[in-house]
Formats: sequence, C-alpha cells, structure tokens
Amino acid sequence: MKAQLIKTSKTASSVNIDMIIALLPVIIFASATFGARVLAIVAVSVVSAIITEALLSFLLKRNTVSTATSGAVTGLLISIMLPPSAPIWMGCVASVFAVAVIKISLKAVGSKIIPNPSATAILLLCSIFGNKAYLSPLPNSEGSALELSPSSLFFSDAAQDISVFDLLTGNRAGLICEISILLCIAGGIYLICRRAVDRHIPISFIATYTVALYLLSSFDIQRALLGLICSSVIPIAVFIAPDGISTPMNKSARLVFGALAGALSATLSVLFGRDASLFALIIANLLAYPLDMLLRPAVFGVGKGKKA
Amino acid sequence: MALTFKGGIPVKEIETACGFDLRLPELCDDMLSGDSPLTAKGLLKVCIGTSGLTPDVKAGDTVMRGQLIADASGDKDCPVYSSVSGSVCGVTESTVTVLTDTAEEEVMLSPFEKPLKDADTDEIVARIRECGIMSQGKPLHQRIKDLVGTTAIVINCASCAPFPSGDMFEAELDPRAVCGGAKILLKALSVPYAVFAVTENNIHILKPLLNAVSDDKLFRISELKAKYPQQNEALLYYSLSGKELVVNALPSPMPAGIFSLSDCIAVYNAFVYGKPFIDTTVSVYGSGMKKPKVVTVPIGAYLKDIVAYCGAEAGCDIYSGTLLSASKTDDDACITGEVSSLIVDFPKKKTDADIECCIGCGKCTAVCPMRIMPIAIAQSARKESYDKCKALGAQYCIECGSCSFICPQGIDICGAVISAKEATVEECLPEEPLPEETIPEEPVSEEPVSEEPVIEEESPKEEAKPKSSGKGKKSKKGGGKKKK
Repeated sequence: MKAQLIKTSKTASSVNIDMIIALLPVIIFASATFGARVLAIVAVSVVSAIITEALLSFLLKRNTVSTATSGAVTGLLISIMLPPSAPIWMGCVASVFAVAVIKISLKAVGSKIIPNPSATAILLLCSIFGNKAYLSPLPNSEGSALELSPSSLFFSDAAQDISVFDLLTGNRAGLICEISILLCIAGGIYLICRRAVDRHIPISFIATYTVALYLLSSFDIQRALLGLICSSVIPIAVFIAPDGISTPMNKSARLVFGALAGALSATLSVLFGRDASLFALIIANLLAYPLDMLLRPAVFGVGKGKKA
Repeated sequence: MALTFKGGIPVKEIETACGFDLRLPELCDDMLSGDSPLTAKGLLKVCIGTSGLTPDVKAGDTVMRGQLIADASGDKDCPVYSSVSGSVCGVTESTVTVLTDTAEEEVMLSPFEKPLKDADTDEIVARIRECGIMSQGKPLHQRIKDLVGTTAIVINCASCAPFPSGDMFEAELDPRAVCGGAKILLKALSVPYAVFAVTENNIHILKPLLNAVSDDKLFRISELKAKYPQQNEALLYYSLSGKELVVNALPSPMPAGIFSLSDCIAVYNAFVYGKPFIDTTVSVYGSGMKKPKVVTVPIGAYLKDIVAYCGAEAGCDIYSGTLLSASKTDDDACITGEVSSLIVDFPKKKTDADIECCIGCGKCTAVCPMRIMPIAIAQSARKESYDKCKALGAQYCIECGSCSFICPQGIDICGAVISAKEATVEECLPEEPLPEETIPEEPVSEEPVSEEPVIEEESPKEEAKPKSSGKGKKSKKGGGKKKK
C-alpha cells in the first residue's frame, strides 16, 4: 500500500476561488450598469446552488473538500448567463436544476455522458420561459423596453449596423456576461495563467469559432470578429465550457472537443439565425466521453496501435 | 536545454507542498561514532538479513564489525557481513541479530591487489560478490553479469525528492569514490564511458562530483529537468535516449546499466579498502522531524532506532520511498543497504475523498508519465470491470503517485490504480503474455525475479555504501590503486 504524504496546494477550492475572482469584475461591471438587481440575481443563484449542493452532498455522504466553492461557481456561472432583467427566481430554479439533476444525480448514477450543468439549465430556461430568459434592456433605458441581443441581430440580419465600440464598452443589450466582453477576456487570461482552467478548450473553442464564422461569412474577417465579440462565445468558452465533468480529460481530446464546439456554434448560429453556442456546447458534451476514449494517448512504451 | 519526459510533477511544486523544514544539515552524523549514546550503552541491536544463506554464527558468539556472518554457497547470492561489533543474540533462518558492544573492533578484507587496467570482468565481479554489495534488491555482481554486452552505463543522480538522499551527501563529501566506483563498473562491463544523469535540483549538492567528473574523458554529464519521477529508470532512459521502453515487463527491456551513486561508492570501498557492504547513509526528513538529518548507519539497524537517534518526534510513522509514493515500514523493520532516505511523518488523519468526487479536471491524466488515464482506471476498477482497466493500461502504472498528489479533490487515485493493476495481473495471468515488443535492440536478460529469495523475505537486507568510516584514510589509497 502506497501512501501519499503530501498533496498539492492547488485544491479544488483554490481553483474555484480563482474562478470566482475571475467572474467578480464581470458581475461588478454589470451591476454598475444595470443596478443592484444584477446583484440580487447573482446572490439568489449562488445561495441556492450552495444550499442544494451542500444538502445533497450531505445526504449522499460525499466526502468532499469543496462543496461551498463548487456550488458558488455553478451559481455564478448560471447568473452571468441570465439577462439583467431576468426574474430573480429564475436563477434559483436554474441553480437547483443544474446542481441537483446534472452535477450530482447524473454523476451519482455513474453516467459517462454529462452535459454541462449551467449550460443545460440555461437552455432549459430559454426553452420554457422564452423571451424572459434572454431578452435584456439596454443600459440606461430604465429597464422598460427589452431588446434582442446584438448577436441575434447579427445572425438574423447581416446588414445590421453594429458599433464595435459599443460592443466593447458594454453599451448594448445582452446577458450579464456579454456586456463586458473585455472583462471576460481578462478573466480568461487570469484563469489560464493561474492554471485554474484548462487552456485547450477555450483556445480551440474561440479559434475554431472565429475560423468557422470567417468561412461561413464568405471570408469576411471583419464580420467574423464582429460575430465573436457580439455573441456570448467568449464568456462561454472561457468560463462555462472548461467545466471538468462534461469535457474530455486528454489534451488532444480537449482540443478536438473545443474545435467541435466552436465549429458547431458558428454553424448552428448561422443556421438558426441566433446565438446557439450553448446548444452547440451541449452537443459537444455528449461526444466528450467517446472523444476521450478515442483520442487517448498511447501508453508510454506501448506503440500507438497497440493500446492494449 | 535540460532533457526531460512528458508529464510528471515539477520538484518546485513538491517543495511548495511540503510543510516542513528542508534545509540541508551542515554535517552528516555517524550512528556508530564514539559519542553516540546508542552504542555507548550497548543498546543498538542490529538485525541483518541473511535470507537464503546459511548463517555462520550462533547465539552467544562475539562478532567484529566486518566479520563474515553468513556465506553464500550459490553464485547467485553473496555473503553477508556484520555491520557492528558485539555479541550474537539471535539467529533465525533469515536473520542474525547482534547486540552491539563498545569494542569497535573491525576487520576488513584486503584491498583489491591488481591495478584496475589488468583486472578482467570475472575478477571484478568476484570481488563485488565477495564484498556482498546489494543493488536494487539484487546482488550487484548478479546485475553486472546480466548486463554484460550493454553499451551504456548511466549513473542515476535524478532523485526528485525535495531533500537529497543520503548517497548524494556521500558523493558531496567524497566525489572521488563515486568516480572510482564508476570506473570499476565501466571496466567490468567494457563500456567506454558513463553518463551522469543529474536533475537540476541536485546540481547544487553534487557540485563537487560534477567538477571532478567534468574533465574526465570517461564521463559525460546529462542535465535533466527537475521533475518527479525522473529517477524512474524507464523515464531516465527515455529522457536520455528518446526511446520508450515497456515498463513493468519481465524480463526488463532496459538496455543500459543504470547504477546509483551508492553502488559506485560501495564498489570503490570494496576495491580500495576491502570494505564489505556494511554501512549506508540515509537522509531522514519529514513532518515528524524538526530538522532533517543525514546519518550513516550500520546495515540492519532498526529503523525506529535510527529515527529516534535523528530526533524524530514520538508517534510518527516511518516511510521509505518518496513523499508521493511512500511505503510504510513495519515496526521492527531494519535498514537495508538500498535505502538512502527515510521519511518520518505523523499518521494521516484525513481520509481520502471518494472517487465519485472527481470533478473531471483531467490533471491526473496530464501528469501521468505513463500516459494512462488514472481516474478512468480507478472508476472502472470500482465497477470491477478489469478488462476495461487493462484496456486503459492499468498494468503499466509505475506507482509514482503523481496522480494522487495533483488531484485537487484529494482522491487517492494512485491507490485505486494500483489495486486495479494487481487485479488485472491476477485476472489475466493465464493468457497475459509478456509484451513481445519488450526486447529492444539489446536484450539484457535479467533473471526472473522470483528466484531471488534474498530479496523478498525479510526486510533486513544487507547492502550499503560504506563511507563515513573510511574517510580519513581514503585519500592516499584512492589515488594510487584506482587510477591505475
């Protein structure tokens, strides 16, 4: 029996805390723009995710070190994918669903194929509650009129005039995470530098998305980049996609996974005429386990073909 | 550009995770030196392993340090010498127990007479056997015989522990012994040069050795990145040559002769001073030590005596191996010659997290030097699908513990993979042919492990690197005899 006398100091909790640090600026920016309502959405999502996770871990007698931070991250991820005008109970419903049904139950029954918890919960909200789950007010509009996000306009109407400056400074309608695209990029860089998330998925996701959009928009690079910053691909690729249980474990499988998600996002978005990145991500999630097994590296000393 | 392998854990990360003192001690202690309270009171009991041999002494006999106490009849075994002077207080089939006295009498064999350049392989091998040198659980002479025809000799200085092993301190004090021993091994195997494979974390302590080695045409130095578990022979060979060998295969496909610093020092002492294999130098560190210590001990000393002598706190467990993959020793375990570090640690209180807590971060897969998927194997083993474990390569695990170390959830992945590996081997024994491709260019047949009773039975084994005792006189003889 071998014993490990020391363990890494990079525990799941410390990784989760890095994640929270990376998400905070995004949330602060959104609440500065849309008011304290955003904070309420975030708080409700986070608290309900933590309570659900703690309760279920206790009931299932899980011996784990990171219940609170892990729940907090799920809650945060869900809240940033909601529009600032979302009803406050929405975060609670989505968090409970993501944690109870996907994160804990699917894992507990030993499912190999697990869709991304927050992405699934948000998609569910969109399909049940429709507009409420994705329409958002414009900043400084007093929250009366709800608008489509520029990405929907982008994909449905190619002629639409969208100001890049507005996109970058957050003067737009959109989800909580979408309105601060630069802070999302900064958060992603922070996470990758801290090695808190795997770098392969975000990089290949974003790169493939851009390339695919470039091809689909008849080789118009400006349009491809515009699509990149007006949609929610960057926050999804950086914060949501690199979730562990729903993605492959091998580097090469992760690269392919990211590429698949990116290519599907671009294609489906163009096809559906609206931002379909979450949907594409979940499709890729379903293929994560087969990809992982298919693309696992050759064992040391044992040739490629003979993975026996 | 330092060489390395894929995966593994940087030593820096291991050091960060150690919550205890890692400063190098100023000097090495000798447990048998005059003022040791243990020997003065005659309290040191030494239990010397003689499995498979016939003890030549009986209870009540007085023995001197360096006296033969068990002779080997077959060519496969080698004789065993007493590491202390005292009276024999117990003889069993596999051990001789000696209660030390204060006489400090010792006998040595006569030095090897021939100039090295005139000696042939058989004579060198015979001398190594005569002195009872053990290496990697086998008699060193047997390893050398198995390696005849090899084209490369590597001296393994690639330990990636956060604290240097005892033989490195020996090498620091007496670099010439290492060089001399390496030259004898070169001569025995007719290999033109030896490669010192040194990881960056060890360059500092091995500076004197590297200086001595750097202007000798018989030696080369290869720098390796300080990444655990670089000391593993297959990874060492890969880092140096770029060729991957199948691990855990029998017979071992290793085409190079890989020796440790302590092998070299023991061989040197055997030839120059006629000193049999009776001492070893160990470093003792861990959370149970206020300060790490390095101490030369007689082979066969009880581990609990050694760590008590080094000032370990009460109630600690003693481990051999590495911090990431430690084996807990028995209460009455004795030091063997191949041990060069001991870890003293308080018993673990926290239980490991459940495998179900896996968050799929993939870090275990990223660090696994064998490129198997540790957590996937652990999960399959939990469901007892051992075919799956085998398909995933559980049988290639080298038990380095990197996966358990890195797991952010604190799951003991390595433990699960090891049980899967054992179960896999059992389940597949009938049809599991040893991988045919195991034999690379230079088949080096190692004899089947099972034959070597000396190794297994009792932990007390003999084997050591003499060192401290000869320090004074080394200089004069060292030069003359060895350099021819």
